[in-house]
Amino acid sequence: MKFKENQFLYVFSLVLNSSKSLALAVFFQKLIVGLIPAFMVISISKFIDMSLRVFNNKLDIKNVYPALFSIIVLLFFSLLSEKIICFANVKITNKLRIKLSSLIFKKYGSLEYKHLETPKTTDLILRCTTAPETNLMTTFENSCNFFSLVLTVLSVVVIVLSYVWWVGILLIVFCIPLFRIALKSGKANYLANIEVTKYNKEYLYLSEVLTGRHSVEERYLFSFEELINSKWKDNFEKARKILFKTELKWFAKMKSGSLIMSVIALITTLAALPAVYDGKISIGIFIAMVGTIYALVNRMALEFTTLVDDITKGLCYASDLQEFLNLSEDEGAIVKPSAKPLQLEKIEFKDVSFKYPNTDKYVLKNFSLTIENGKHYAIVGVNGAGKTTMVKLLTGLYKEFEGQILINQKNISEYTPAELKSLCSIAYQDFSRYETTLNKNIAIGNINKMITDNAEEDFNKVVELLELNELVDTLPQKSDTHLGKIKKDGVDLSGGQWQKIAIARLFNNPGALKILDEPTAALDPITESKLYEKFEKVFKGQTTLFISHRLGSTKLANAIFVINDGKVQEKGNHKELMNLNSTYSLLYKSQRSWYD
Amino acid sequence: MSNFQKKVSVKNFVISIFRVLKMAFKAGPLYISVNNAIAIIHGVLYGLMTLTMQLFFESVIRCIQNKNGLNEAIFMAFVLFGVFMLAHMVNGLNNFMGTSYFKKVVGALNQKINIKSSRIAPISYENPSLLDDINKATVGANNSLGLLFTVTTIFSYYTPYFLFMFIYFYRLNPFLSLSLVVIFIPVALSQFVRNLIFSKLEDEIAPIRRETNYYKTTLAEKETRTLGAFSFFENLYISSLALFNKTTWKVEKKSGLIELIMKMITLAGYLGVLYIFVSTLLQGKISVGAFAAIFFSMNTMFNTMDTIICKHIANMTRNMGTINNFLNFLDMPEIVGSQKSQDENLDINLKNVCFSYPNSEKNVLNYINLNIEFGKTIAIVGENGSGKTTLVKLILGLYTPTSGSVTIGGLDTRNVSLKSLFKKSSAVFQNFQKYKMTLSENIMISEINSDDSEKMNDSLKKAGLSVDKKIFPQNYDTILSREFDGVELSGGQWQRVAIARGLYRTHDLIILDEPTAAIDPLEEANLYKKFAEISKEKTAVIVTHRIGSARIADEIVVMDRGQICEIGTHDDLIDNGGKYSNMFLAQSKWYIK
Repeated sequence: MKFKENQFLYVFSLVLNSSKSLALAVFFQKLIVGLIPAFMVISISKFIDMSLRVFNNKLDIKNVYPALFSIIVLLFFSLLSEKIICFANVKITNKLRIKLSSLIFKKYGSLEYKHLETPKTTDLILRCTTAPETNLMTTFENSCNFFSLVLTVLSVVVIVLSYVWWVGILLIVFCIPLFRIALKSGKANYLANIEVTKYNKEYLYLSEVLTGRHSVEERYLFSFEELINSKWKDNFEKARKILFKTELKWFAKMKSGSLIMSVIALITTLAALPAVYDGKISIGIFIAMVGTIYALVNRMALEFTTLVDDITKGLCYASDLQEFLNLSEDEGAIVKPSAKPLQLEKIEFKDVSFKYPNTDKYVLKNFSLTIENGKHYAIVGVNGAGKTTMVKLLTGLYKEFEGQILINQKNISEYTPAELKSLCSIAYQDFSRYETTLNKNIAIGNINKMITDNAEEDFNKVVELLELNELVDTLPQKSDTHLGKIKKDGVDLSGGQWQKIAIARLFNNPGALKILDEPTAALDPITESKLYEKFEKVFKGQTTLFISHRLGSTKLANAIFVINDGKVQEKGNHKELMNLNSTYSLLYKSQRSWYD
Repeated sequence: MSNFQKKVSVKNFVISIFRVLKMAFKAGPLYISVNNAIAIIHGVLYGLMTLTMQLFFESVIRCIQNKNGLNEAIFMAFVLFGVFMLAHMVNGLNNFMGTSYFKKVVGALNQKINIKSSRIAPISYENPSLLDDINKATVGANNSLGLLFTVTTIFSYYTPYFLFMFIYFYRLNPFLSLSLVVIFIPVALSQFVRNLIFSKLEDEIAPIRRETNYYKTTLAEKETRTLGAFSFFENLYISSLALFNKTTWKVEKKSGLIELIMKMITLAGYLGVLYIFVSTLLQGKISVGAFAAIFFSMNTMFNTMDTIICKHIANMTRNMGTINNFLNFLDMPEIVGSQKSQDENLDINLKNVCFSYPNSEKNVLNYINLNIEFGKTIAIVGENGSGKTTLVKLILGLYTPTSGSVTIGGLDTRNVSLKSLFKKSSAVFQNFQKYKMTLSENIMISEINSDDSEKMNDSLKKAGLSVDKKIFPQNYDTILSREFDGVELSGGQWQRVAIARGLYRTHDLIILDEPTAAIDPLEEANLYKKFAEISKEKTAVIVTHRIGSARIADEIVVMDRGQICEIGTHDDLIDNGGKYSNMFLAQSKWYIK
């Protein structure tokens, strides 16, 4: 229960903060609409009584007009006010969107990097960042509707109380278990849906395997559709059966609620009969009361449980949102690299051991190496050996590790995030393909210069260097062409073309240490070879670090590090390592054997 | 314009509904009959509630006027209670049965899509607009639940209800039955207007929403962090958000005004109905009891009509598009072909083969002539985009040539069923799948009718993957996906699984497309040596752009811009001094200096 109260207040405070007057308007409109049925009882009763007198006492018809008029006014208000208040809803949602979405965006960008690599957290992030304002507004509206419904019930109870007081007490006594039932069932549904998620994920994945285009070749060649389809069916049926059981319980609860309410209506009717028979209450009041109570029973049966369900869902979302906003941040996440890049003298890894949070395996174990300014390095090793992890530590994405990392003799923790970012210029193996223009994709490598006039000059320099002219010319708006599909006239590039852009981005980046992680994986031999030659020319005198398991390029390096099992197993230049006759030498000889 | 947009006509609408109904019926005939029967009772009971209420009120008034005791009224009070209770119970039963049955139907329809997806021509998946339609087909199958619900409730629940009310009104006073029409018109009118306007409005917002959502995804990438690009994307996000708000307000203002006007028309309808009842009451043509009972059910009637038209029928028309996609997908032509058996010797012959992708005029392959003798190992090399992977798909028989012919073991790929063509073939594709299933399932999926753990072990050995307890804690039953509580394999480990998968399937022909992209150099050499061994008695076609590895082949095919520019053994091609020789030197010079 405590959990729910917190979230309730949270939702209300968020909505009120974004637009106090409009939110209050919505709230009051709903409350007033909630009072209408009670007023309607009075108006109807007057109308009926008056109509009876018009018949029996032959009164003038004009006497019914006041009551009729009030009925019409109440109808007007209840039907139209909802449509009018819609405009307020939209305005509030828009304001929420600006406030909340910007907040969430900033939070997302500032999260500690480890959160982005933890599946449970990324699930949470996905839930929270999808249309937050709509979720909150819907919960707010549903809560107001709930209060409105409660007000309706209370106001009708008050009327009943004033005529048949002891029934009123009975009503209140009965209402409590009703509320209890409704609240419990909301939670049960929510939990069942979580249990079902596992099966849902499974059969949704299998659908993708059976109908997606990436698995086409294997699907047709191996012809496994019958097998996978029966797996699909199993999971679908498991999920359906779980939901079936829960829905059965839900319906039973809902209908027992209706039953209780119908009994209350019966008791009220029976209790009021003697009073109307004896003339203590008018026929009009009796009819209006009984009619309203039965109409209310109908309404409650439909609305109440659905409302509670929806509100529970909304509150669970709100609690997710709170959890998201409480995730730890990294103050350096959103800063730009220092305008004046950090100079590089020496980088040392001293006995560094590291494992990813919530895992047991050490990816780096007593890892030690030294990088000196002006030299070319190659890092070689099997996949998963920790090469990319080393880069993540150097750029400050992960801060908790054992051992020391020294930059220019100072501990890495003594540098500001901006300085760290300015140190390296990286072409990742899984580089980003930003859906913006071609020139921005390259200019983004030097974010500080992006807005200056020289940006175009730099761009042209890089294009020439990497011989990208041909590519630029084939594009419809040349370098201003949008890449990717979010804009209508966006263009898709091939893997090889994107790789060249990633390298261009690196060339544009003023960072002192150039790191290239598998930079030619998508390129054909001739382009690859040309690129290595270019690197040799362009990076003369600079500090470079090539990560690759293709050994041809290591010949350029002053020093090669062979990494195995999280450690630096061998180090030295090509000649030295060949003489060691160990891992590197074997690797090299086996690759060279192709070309003998 | 999607491929599937036919002219929307009432006839097509009705035909589509019938087709879905037929499929639903097959999925559970007893269920649907019982459910409909209950729905009819449900509808009648709801009408009965109004009638009973009238009788109750009239009995109360009679008792008071005749002063002869309350027994009649008390009895009617219990009858009223009884009818209400019964109506609610039936309502619960009807809704509950409906939901669970309809889910079953959705399952059956989705399975149809699952199977159909493997029966249409594989080339269909290269057509982007068709891919879109296939996606919509799945949405359509799920939307069919709404369609079923709408159709059955309209016929089995609402129709009896309104029929009852119509008869009830008519018997009270013929003038009253006019009120049903008055209820119907404004609601139908507003829905009609909505249909006209709202889809256009949504089209305006959708692209802006997509763009706004995109900027969020950039934050998940580590490069965005290391470049410090947050504020760049934040600015784009904020301006996109502002545009989204502006457009939303514009759209909502329009639709809000329309809704308001529609509601005023409905209000006019309400007033019209009220006028009809009040005037009949004041003329003494109906009793006070009748009036009260009707007044209290007026809200229900309006809401019910509103629900049918604005919710159910609206959903139906809105979802008809995707439901038609679903039906059209099921109507797509399937690959037929005769079942024939291939020759003993699986020779492969390509004659004047040209190939272009659908919706493209450019030939990706031009006049390919190639003869692959059974038992030979062929390497196909060339730059990116030279057509290597496409060629291999034609050799396998997955795609058929636009012109020219491909025969495998004497069978022409255009006339024969895929099953016949693939009977003795296997492959390790460049984009092999990493199935989120167990290790053994990942391997045995290539030959689903066999369950041979010895063969599986053998393939694993040949692929060089040892089933180490440290990597595979549950042995062969280890699930290879962290998402389903299993383990994550490295790129190299997955590659070996894919190779084991390819080897597991009994074959005389095997295609290996860039089979060592993720393998480290030391292992790569060993693996290629193994390939050479394994494919001694079989035909192997290896695509690679590591030139050095092509040497294990009996013959090397060099592709350039969709054509074969050179063909021969390694030594022949080096002597030639052509493209192959250039590529070889480009790579080898890094090793021989």
